[in-house]
Amino acid sequence: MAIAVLDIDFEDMPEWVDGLQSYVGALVLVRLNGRPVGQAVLRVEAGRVHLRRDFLYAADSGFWEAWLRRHVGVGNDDRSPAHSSPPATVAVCTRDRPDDLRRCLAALARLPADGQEILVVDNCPTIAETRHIVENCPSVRYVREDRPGLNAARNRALQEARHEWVAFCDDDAAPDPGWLRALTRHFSDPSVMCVTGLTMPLELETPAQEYFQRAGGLGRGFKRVVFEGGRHDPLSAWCAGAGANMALRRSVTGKVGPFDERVDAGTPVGGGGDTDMFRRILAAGHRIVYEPAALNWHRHRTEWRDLCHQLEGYESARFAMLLTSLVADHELEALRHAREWVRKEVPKLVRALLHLPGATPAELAIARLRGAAAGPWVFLYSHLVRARRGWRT
Amino acid sequence: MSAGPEISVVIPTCNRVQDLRRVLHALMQQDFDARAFEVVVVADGCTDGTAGFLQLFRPPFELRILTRDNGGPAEARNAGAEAARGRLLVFLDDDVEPSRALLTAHWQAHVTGGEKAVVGPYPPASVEQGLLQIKVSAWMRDLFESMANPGHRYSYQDLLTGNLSIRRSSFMRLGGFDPELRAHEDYEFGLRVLVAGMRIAFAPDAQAWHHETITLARVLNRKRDEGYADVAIARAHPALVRTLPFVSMGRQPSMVGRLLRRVAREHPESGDILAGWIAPVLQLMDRLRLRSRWATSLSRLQEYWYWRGVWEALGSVESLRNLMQSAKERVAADPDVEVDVDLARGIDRAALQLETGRVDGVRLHYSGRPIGRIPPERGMESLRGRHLRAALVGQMAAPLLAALASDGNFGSHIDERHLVQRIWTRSFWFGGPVPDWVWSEQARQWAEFDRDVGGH
Repeated sequence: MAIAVLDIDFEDMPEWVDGLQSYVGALVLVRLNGRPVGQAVLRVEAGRVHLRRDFLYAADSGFWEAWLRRHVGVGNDDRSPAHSSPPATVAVCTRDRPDDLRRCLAALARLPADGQEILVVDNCPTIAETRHIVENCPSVRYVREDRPGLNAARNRALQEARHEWVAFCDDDAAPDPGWLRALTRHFSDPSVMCVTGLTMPLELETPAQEYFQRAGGLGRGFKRVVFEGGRHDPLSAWCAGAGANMALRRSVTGKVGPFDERVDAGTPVGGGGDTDMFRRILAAGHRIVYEPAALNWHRHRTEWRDLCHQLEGYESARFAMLLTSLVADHELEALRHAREWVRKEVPKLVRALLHLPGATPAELAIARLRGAAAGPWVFLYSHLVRARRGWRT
Repeated sequence: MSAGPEISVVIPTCNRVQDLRRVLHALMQQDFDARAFEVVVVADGCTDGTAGFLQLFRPPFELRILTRDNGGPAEARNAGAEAARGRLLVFLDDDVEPSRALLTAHWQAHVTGGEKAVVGPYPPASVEQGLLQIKVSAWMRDLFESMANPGHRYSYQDLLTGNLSIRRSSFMRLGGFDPELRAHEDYEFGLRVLVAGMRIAFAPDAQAWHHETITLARVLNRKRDEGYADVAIARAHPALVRTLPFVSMGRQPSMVGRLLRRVAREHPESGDILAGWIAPVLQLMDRLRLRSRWATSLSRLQEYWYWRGVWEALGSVESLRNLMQSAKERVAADPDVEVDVDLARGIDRAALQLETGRVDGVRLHYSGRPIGRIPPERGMESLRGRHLRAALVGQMAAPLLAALASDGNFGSHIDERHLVQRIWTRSFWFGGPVPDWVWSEQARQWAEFDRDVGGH
């Protein structure tokens, strides 16, 4: 049985929502005056979720804090009004996912018109449909990047962007109308190089999607966090957000270098290009703001096989990043992180293999271990392949 | 305009002609009328060509130059203020680069609201590589951000002189900066500002950028000066002793802390040699990015140099005891004003209760149920409604929400006891935000959901 995903404003919360016969529960994103502030997981009884009756008991600390701020009369600490921000570029990097892209572009069309430019970077395509979709959207610019890899596409987007602030949205995600304004308002602080946002699941229809969301998904909670090299360990930069929902200054490449094209989707190292960028931003003493008001909805992988592959990629990327930071940036603490990983993950793996209650499914645990063990080697392989083709790394 | 300039910008400088050039050029770009302000440069023992540069410099505003032997920044600022003719003094450090709107913002901050000292932000202009530079930059940015928060309660330690404005009449009435202090002369001045009943305020639009070269030697030297200055502050204002690090650190010292304090007092020669050895080790740790070890070692080293300054000024344990004794007497003679506030009558009414008179601390209740306490603190502005509101959404969020829930604020269909219990289970995640806790709260929500579904 699946979990329904609802988007509700506390101000006009209905008594109940009907028609959820195929669901056992509902993940509710709750807003206060339009702003996402928290979530709750509620039971569905006979196709109905009793919002007014059940919500408060299940609400999280994010909701309660926001409610109390309003009750007490303390503002939300928003930065300068968003409409005064200069325009931004929105970049969608895609590869052969026409259906997802259509939904993403439809959502982008609903953003308030602040003069933003929308750019689709078609990465190493094998079909022509992406181009056709974009040709039907006159306000969207099409760019084709033939070097494979999500990070190659991101670098291309940074080069092509006409504006200084570039917001990235994954092709399998759909942004909320307030997304872009919430991201860009933080760039009035010149020490902010990157702003990340809250990613909620678009649907939780399959066990793979539900598992991924229960394990944390792509969200980083409902409270704003300012990450800073002086306070936060760059090697834990994954806490700062995810590439599915982030905005960067174009000038970041001049300060910390471009995205590392040896990693992330489309390369032998299946992920981690975003985290590696966050790590370098923090290590150079700049700021990353996690802004939960910048909301988008992401379609998680529907199949177990794809989820295993994704998690394997995450672990490969983790160890690839530890290797580069150790070798290239003399981050000796990378060794400690590797040791910590072993200390934490080995018992989890044992529990999974013994099928103990509450343990990770064995298939996933093995995929993660495989990814971790292979990480440094696939990274070296990726490096050599690109070096041989004469591509920038 | 016969009455002279509206604003006098006072810039003390000592052998930093390149920095001085930058700040003066930035003052040429102000959106404030150049005929309505003057700039007083106090060249304090300059030997690097500052005088030559100033002679040839032809700005659109009136530039006046005072040349004196090196007497330190406090004396230089006092001399600049003495010579100034504007009604408003704006103090800028020579390595600070003002934004175009700085003077206008300072000017406007004084238009209403009585006598005050207005601080403008001057975070680092750029961050250099190196853990020390990153750390100090982060610290400065945090400092200005906390002041921008409407619930911030100003303390005398918020008064910084790098980008500060105050009416000339107020400055003169307070007697200027204390020239005896080598450091923290700004804090000491801030204290007199508060004692005189003036406010410290923050003007976010009076933006400037700090072009400071941060080195370990400078950071450690400064610590030593701070230790020395804190003792002087304690002697001049005994009631403040509790808030000074050498007392608060001394209350529950760790073993290493006790050792450092002792070495600094009894064996300073050997201590200095040892501290000298640690500096290159720190640099090695920085190169190898051993962040946590580096941070611990740095704070130990800073602690040592702070104590060196403290003992240099105190001389003996005996004089520390005397200082503490006189502090106790002073506090007893002028006890804290702590009031009780009932929140059940409404937050606005509670806030209003704090808008007049001196309040140092507050005990909060909700129809007899204790909610929390804002303990009295010395050297801070009087507690006001905005501080109360900020505290309520901070450390008191859980007890207040629980009180509101048991009082039936969420509708008659709600089981109050159940809701209160759920609010308390969430309280672990209140406040934050700590990145690592995000997932634990969501895991908890899913576990509760599984239990609910399983139970039915």
